Formats: sequence, C-alpha cells, structure tokens
Amino acid sequence: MRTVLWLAGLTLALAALFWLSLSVGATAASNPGEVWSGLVSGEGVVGMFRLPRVLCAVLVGALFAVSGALLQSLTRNPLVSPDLVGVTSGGGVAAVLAILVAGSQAGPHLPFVVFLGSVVVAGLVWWLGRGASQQRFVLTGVALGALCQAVITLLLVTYAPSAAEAMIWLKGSLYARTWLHVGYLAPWCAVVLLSSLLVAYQANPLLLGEEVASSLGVRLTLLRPLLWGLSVAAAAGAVSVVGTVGFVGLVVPHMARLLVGPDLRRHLPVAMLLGALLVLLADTVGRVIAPPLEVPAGLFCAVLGAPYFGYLLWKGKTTL
Amino acid sequence: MSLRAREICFSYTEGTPILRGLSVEIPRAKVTALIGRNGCGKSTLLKVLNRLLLPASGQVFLEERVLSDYPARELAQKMAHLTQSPIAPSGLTVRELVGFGRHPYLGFLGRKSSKDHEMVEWALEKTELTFLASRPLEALSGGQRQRAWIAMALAQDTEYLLLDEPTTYLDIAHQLEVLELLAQLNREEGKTVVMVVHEPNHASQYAHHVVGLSEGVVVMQGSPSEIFVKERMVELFGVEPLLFEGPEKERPWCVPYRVT
Repeated sequence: MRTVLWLAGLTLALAALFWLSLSVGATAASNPGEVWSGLVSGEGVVGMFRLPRVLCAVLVGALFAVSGALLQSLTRNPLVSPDLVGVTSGGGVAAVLAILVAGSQAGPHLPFVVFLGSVVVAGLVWWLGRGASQQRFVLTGVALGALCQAVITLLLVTYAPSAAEAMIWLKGSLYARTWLHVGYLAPWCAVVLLSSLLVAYQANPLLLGEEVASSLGVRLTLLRPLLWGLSVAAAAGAVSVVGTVGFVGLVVPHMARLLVGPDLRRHLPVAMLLGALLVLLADTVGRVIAPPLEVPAGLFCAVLGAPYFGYLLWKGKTTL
Repeated sequence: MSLRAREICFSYTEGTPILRGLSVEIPRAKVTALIGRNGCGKSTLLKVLNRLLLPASGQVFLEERVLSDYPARELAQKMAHLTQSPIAPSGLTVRELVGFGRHPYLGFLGRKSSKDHEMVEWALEKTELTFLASRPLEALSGGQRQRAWIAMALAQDTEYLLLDEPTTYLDIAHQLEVLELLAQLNREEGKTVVMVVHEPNHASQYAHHVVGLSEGVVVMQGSPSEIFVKERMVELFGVEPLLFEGPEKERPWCVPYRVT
C-alpha cells in the first residue's frame, strides 16, 4: 500500500517537474500553450530541443538508479555503484579517446563507442573477479575503475587544449541531446528496465546473503552473471548518452530502500522514478541557475547527492 | 539411511584440509547432534551436506541419489539450512523473512498461493511469532530473531532441517524453547534434524544420535548414553566431565569439570 502511494506520488512529482522543465530554459520561459503545442507537434524550442533533452534525463536517471540497485543487491554492499566498479570509467576512457582522435566527428558514433568501452571493462571485471568473494569482486572493479580514471587523467593532461570537449562529456551533461539520442535510449531502456523488474523477485533472496540464497534454491551461477549483465547494460546505456553522471546510482537505491524497504519488487520501480526525478531536477536547475551558462547535470547530482549521503550516514541507516 | 556422506574431503585453502575423508550417516526422522572442538569441521560438514560447499572429493547421497544430481529448487524443497548468525537487510519484516522460505515453491514472478500463505502463518504460529509478524526484524530481541530464522526454515516445508548452532545468542529459556521446538517438529512432523551444538547437554537431552568430529573425521557416534561417558569426553574435548543420571536413564547430564 505504502509502495503504491509512493509510486503515485513520485509519478505525479515527475510529471510536474517534466512540465516545468519543458517550460524553462536559456531562452524566455514558455507559456503552457506553447509547451503543449511543442509537446504534441514536436516542433519549436520545446518540441525540438527541450523535449528530447528532458526525455533523456528521465530515461538516464532510471537506468542509473536501476544499475545501482541491482549492483548493491548483487554485492550486498550499500556503497557500490556503477561509477565505483569501473563500468562508467570504462565508458569514460572510450569517450575521451574517441573525442581526442575524431574530434567533433565522433559525435553521432560516440554513444556506441562509449557503450563498447563500458561493456569491455565490465567484462574484464567479471572475468578477473570470477569465483571470488563479493568483496574481492568489488575490489576488482574498484581497481580497474581507478586504472581507467588514471588513463583518463593522463589523456586529459597530455592533450590539454583539445580535451575541453571530453571534460564536458566526463562531467555528464544533457546539453544538446536530441531525438537521435532518445531513439537510442528509449528501446534500450524499455528492455533493460522491464527485464530488471522481471528478475526482481528472483534476486530477492540475495538480500539474505549468498549462503541463505542458495539454500533457498537460488542458482547463483545463473543469477550473478544475470544481475551483473543487467546492471552493466543499464549503466552502459546511460553513460553512452549522457556521460558519467555520478551519485545517482549510489544514492537513489538508498532513498528507495528507506521509502519502501529492501524487497526489490517494490524497491526497483521506486528507484527508477526517484532516479528519473533526481537527474531531471539536476538538469533543470543546472539549466536555469545562471543562463546562458549551464551546470552539467552530473555535477549537480553530486551537489544534491553528497549532503543526502551525509544525512544517511548521520541517521545511521546505511545498512543494506 | 537417507542422508549420508562418503569420504568427503574439503579445504577452504589449499594445504589446510578441513574435512579429511569424512563419512557419516544421518538417521532418518531422528535428531542428530554434531559435536566437537572449534574448527573440527562441524559447520563445514553441514554446508557440504546441503551443497553450499562442494567437496574436493567424496560424495553426499540424499535418498540414494547423489546430491549433485538434484536441481537447486528440488534440493531446497527437501532440505532447509539455518546458517550461523545470518544477517537480514534492515526494514525487512518478520513475515517477509519467513515468506522467503517459500522461495523454492514459487514461480518466476514469485506470486504466493493460498498454500504458501498458510505455510508462512503456520511457521509463524509454531515459533510463536504471529503477534510480531509485521514488525521489522531489527526491532526484535536476539531470541525472537533466531526464532524468525527458524520459522523461515520451517516455511520451507522440508523433511531435513540443518541448523548451525541454533541456540547461539539466546538466553537459557530461549535456548530450551528452540530445542523443544526442534524436538517437537521431529516428533510430530517426522522431520530429520541435524544440528551443530556446543553445549553437551543440548546434545545429550535432545538428540537421538550424536556424532563426534575431530580434525575433519568422525571419531565417535552413537546414542547419548554411549557418547557422554568420561573417556569419550576426554578424547573429544580434552575435558573431564561430571556426569549425572537424570530422569531419563539413556540421557545423561554432562557438566564440563576441568581440562585434562
């Protein structure tokens, strides 16, 4: 019952923010009539620029949140997120390389390159950490992630002037996201989010630890790669379109757990909505706070996320 | 004999074997206690019996079928395992925890039938937790929490119940309650109970069959009156006991007296 209320409330909040986000921006605020006609026709500032951007924010937020929630159940570690275990860093290396090599030519192909980079690093983490305990698996991801970060920094420093575009990408921005990106993201998002909801029940016993889960008949050899695959698919999809928006995958699962408890069947849908809400909020605020300059959504998520995390620690409610 | 292990070898790290060719038979529909010093392999044996750990060599047979032949769900419908100090996530209610016991019976999306709900309520009733069912687990006392985990194992509706130190963290009244509950389940439902215990009297008063382990092999087994004698206690624990005859002649009381 509480879950239904939260889902309804969050959906309403998301719808309201969606509308608000379409109405505001660097150019003058649009009146409701303009927003509506843009929404329906897909034309004008609202339809051609703001709508795809807002849709991207929503989809990406949901993907990051689901990725984090699945990773935290898989590793039974509340501090794990897609940024921590190397998935997004892998995409980052690929993005920086692509931007440095191809410059603005990289644009339309960038999502695919980044996706590939994330998946390759995620595959490496799996392969190196296979058969190890959960902690060692996480550490493998942390190590590879750190290596990727080092490579990114090295590239940025070495090619400083031409790396400005890569810098913006790395901060995770929704600037200039178009219908092309929505076209990539929407089907992917549908598949990944639906599959996650479908496996939610199967993944639940992991909450009690791997030993209890297997004594309940869970086949870990199937479930673990499935969860890893889904969370990587979610994070890689999101990173490929908007870059490394951090903190969403870490903080949102916590918020969702506080709201509706740890059962993934309730937790995942709430996390999806919260993630969408957080990224959209970050992007909207980032757009209107000092136009025509933009604060990247990724930066703003960290700004919003960090104090919340502090609050969680202070409340002592960080146990998974 | 329905659950038996044959020449099991197991080690967590190479070079330090925990189980060294251990063979044991667990009598059906009886309460069996595993006793022995720390690190003798009791918990490891329990995990091997439930396939939580795979032995390096040797085999476990459950009803004349090799354990590795069982599909995961089928095994979970036959055998429940309460591990040592399991941890639940915060926010989980008692009823939700007990509901996990139905996992091996549910379909892919986990919809519970009325039978599943009945089993959960039955398990809550048996463990006297019905009145606490909608409380979060962390709001319970240690004894209640342990009973909730036992309730989860009961909801699994298995013939075999494996329990690793089911009385840890419990005060003496709750210890006896848990043991009485297990004895009752054995008596009334015909469940086969295998438990690791440290307190000798828990074995002597509640088990039909006692298995003593030392350095990864079974060194003695038999009825409580065969095991709880002075020489055996000295051999197994290096402890000289005081032994008393209680109301039941074949169930001696055993007080550890001094280290030999």
